[in-house]
Amino acid sequence: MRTYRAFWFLPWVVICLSLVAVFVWTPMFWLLQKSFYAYSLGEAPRWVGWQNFIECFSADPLIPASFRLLGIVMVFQMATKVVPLLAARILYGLSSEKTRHAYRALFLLPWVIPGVAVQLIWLQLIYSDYGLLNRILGWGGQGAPVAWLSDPTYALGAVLLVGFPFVSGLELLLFYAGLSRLPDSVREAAALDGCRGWRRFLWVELPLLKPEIATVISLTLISSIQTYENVLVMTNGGPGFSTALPGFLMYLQAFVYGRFGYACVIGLMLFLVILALVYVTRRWEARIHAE
Amino acid sequence: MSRVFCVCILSSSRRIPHKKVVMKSWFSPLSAWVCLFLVLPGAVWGEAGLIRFCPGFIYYPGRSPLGTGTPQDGFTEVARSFEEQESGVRIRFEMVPGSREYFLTQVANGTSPEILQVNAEEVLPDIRKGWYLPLDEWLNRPNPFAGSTRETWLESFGYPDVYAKRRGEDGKVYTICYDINETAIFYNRTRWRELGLPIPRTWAEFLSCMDRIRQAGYQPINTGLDFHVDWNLDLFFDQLYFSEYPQMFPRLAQPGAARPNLTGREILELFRQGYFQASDPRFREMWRLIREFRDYAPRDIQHSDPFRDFLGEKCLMFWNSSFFAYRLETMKPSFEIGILYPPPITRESSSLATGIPFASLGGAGTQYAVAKSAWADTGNPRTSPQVASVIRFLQWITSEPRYSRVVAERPMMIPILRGIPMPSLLQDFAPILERRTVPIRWYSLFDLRFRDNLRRNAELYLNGFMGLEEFLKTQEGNFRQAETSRQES
Amino acid sequence: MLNRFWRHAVLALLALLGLAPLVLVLNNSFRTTAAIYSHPFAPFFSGQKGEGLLAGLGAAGLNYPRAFHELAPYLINTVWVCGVSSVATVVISVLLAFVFRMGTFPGKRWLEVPFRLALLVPGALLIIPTYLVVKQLGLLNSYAGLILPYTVGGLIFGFFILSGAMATFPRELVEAAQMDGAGPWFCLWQVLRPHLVPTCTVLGLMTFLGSWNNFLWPYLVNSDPSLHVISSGLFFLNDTDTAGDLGLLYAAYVLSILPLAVLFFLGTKYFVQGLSAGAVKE
Repeated sequence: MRTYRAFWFLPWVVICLSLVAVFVWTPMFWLLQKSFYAYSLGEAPRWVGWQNFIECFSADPLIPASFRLLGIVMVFQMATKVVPLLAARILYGLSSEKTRHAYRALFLLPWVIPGVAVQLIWLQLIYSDYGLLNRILGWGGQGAPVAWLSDPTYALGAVLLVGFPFVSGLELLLFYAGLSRLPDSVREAAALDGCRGWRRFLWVELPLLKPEIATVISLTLISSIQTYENVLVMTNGGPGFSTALPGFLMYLQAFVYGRFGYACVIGLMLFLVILALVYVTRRWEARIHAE
Repeated sequence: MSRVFCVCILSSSRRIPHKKVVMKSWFSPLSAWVCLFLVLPGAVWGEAGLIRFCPGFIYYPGRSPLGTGTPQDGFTEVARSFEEQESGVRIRFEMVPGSREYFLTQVANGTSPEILQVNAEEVLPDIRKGWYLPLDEWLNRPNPFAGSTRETWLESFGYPDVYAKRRGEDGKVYTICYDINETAIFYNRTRWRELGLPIPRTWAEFLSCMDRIRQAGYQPINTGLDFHVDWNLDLFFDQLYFSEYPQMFPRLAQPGAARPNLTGREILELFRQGYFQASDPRFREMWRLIREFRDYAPRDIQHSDPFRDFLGEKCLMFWNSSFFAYRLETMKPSFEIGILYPPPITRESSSLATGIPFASLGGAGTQYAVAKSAWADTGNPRTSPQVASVIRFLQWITSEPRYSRVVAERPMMIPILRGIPMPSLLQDFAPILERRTVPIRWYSLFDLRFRDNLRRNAELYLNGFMGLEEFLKTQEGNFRQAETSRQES
Repeated sequence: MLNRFWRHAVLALLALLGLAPLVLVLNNSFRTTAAIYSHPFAPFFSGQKGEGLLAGLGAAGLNYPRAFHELAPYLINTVWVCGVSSVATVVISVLLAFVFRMGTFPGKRWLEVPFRLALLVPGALLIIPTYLVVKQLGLLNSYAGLILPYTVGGLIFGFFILSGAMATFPRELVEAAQMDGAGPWFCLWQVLRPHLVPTCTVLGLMTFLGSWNNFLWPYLVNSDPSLHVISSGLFFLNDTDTAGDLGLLYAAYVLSILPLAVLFFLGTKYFVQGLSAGAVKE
């Protein structure tokens, strides 16, 4: 196959490149650069060298706490991906294409609800004093209603539980696509060997789904580090700072306290964590693909 | 640019004379639109003679605030009459969110409306950055649209304390206070009489009334978290520190209107002397009393809706502001509503009590500030014709009969202009307004980081997740942090 | 594995739990605010306190038109912003991927690197510097301030998956077309297009969904109320004078879901097809 040449190729690439340079690489560079300044919006940036870094690593007690919270969030998010996996498997096992299509549509529908709406609905209908959870507890005999989002013990859990049962989303489709990729012959061979049902799923199908599982794990890790919108909408950092994830602290320092330089340091730290995770997951995925 | 595209496309397709590719008709217009959006900055501001005005949701024309009644048009009429008077000026109404992010981004950028409805506490921390216009120059001269030339614009507003408390550290006024919003406790008079409760004359009596209400199966009182760390702080601080004022704040002895507001520096100086620390007995006692009082409020004070509980008669008292009187009226409650003011804290409740009556808040309701987008045309507020128009508009809306047309359209807010009668619905607030006003709002003298820290820790303390000692320690840290921030900037 | 009954039971349970918030909101949008205050979870057709099927329809008749009146400008804005973003993303990504996969030009090897590396850059962490960039460009309070970052984000992802899709396309077909003298446009439009349609649908739908649900960016960038999108619109409905009007709020939530729901019902088939075609394989 010969490749094409046209005079507009290069200009087009340059245009796209400049778009990416302006909206991706310039912010990236500024993230690094502004962390050396004390920058309060409306005033001129002031050079402070390593001061922001020193404050972040030693003087700010909120940062280590927020990374502990982040760890909890990451583990929890990964654990919840079991549900779409099982749902995809059961869905795949259905016989009629129409029912499969119907269930898939039902599962995908919650995915299209705007995140803000979901959070507000959970806030008002499920976690409030007269909400669903307190009502259920009331039937069970619990006396006073629990203030889910005002109690530091429960607040993070409450924020994470939004979206229960966690089945809708991209993961369901990815796992389903992976399952349809598996040749029937493998399943039949396993069945002939006497391996059926759960055992077949665990020992035959799951290992073959490793590429999809790897993709989902890396996507989940990276997105759980970055998202803090749920915290912002539901608890605003939680009672005290008990739901203050690092991303939220970054936002708080920038847009509430007005310290953009310090916020960039937090952003930079998170970026390094993501880079490290990406490196590790890429190597793992490469190993899986080699098999 | 799209034409270049089409030429390229067509020229490349000419290589195959016998297989002409017909370009879809939608491609060129689509690429034109895409390119157009790539270069269109979407300038929304910058029209000469256009004043963008955010009147706040209470007066926003065309809406009926709180969904009550017919849409209002007070400001529409006033704005139109202003436009007829001044040629070449147009007023456009806009709604802006009250969030901090908005101020940090839009106001700093000079793209906000020229006249903003914003509280002085939000404005004053940023006056050093030049985001808002000091208004003394015009306030100290007569209002050209008012009847008399004998009194200055500032004097035409009654309640000089309201303005005095909202001066910046430089002593200047940055917000026009358009009306008054005073705090009070609404109570369910029908049930109150049923239970045979007296009107409490001391704090201890008040608490025992609430105990009896609780025993009868109702919730005594409902407030929100914001109230506990805002108005409540002012009122209790005043109750306990009143006898110390001569020592702490000698400046307070100056006459009302000319008295500049306190500075954060003075508070920090007092902190170094030992006030506001864990060892300060009054500070401790203040927080203990607030916590004791909070226990009468429902469990979830952050997210619950106090209004509905009061209307549903689950709760017999509701501590909020005069603004709610109108709203309560429109909901046509089935019970009689009365107004209380908290009775003084006496020695019975606390050994450090001063026993003076609770001060009123001197709360301004709607306040308007002039943002820096107003002098974006010339860069200098003194020479900017836009600023001159903006000031004239503000003078227009604070003179009769325009003022009554707006504020008296509905009896929601208490009028501040001298000589305007109090709406009959709000008559019960008149005696409250005659009280002494709280002289200091100490926690709003620092930056937002201080208030954020105070609010978060107070929430934990008030909800029982943090003990008093721990809480006082966090606040000591907070004051020290405020000190460091001031030194840095 | 599981017999038919249990399979359906589990799937139905999961589906219902997932849809429960939506059902609750739908139910409450058919009631008046007072009714919701007194009994938050009663079905709207139950006979409690003056409710009933007719009363519910009457309440809906009040709630929905008002919610629509509140939301209509936001919906229009959002459809415009998201529509332009997703169409622009697809068009630009296809052309870019085509140029890199099927074309040569000076510096091709080096110019691909910035696009590939941009995948690593986490968008949510760059909100602050991107805000500063957009402010510098004077794009605050404009449609372009929303559309451009979305398009660039979609471009990076789209370039990645479309390169992959084009790479898996059988060479022989292209060679056959080239022997007939096909130019680049013919190759792209007639030969590659059928193969690319599922991937492009995935890309378009994901960009549309991502930009529709994006809350933080429009919240920061836009203050002009005429430019608000649906996510910040819903947030402000909760913040301002309509905050107590629960019937209205819930009707607004339902309305905010409808356009996307319709789009997804129509596009699920292509979406699944696109994913199964290995479009998202690493």
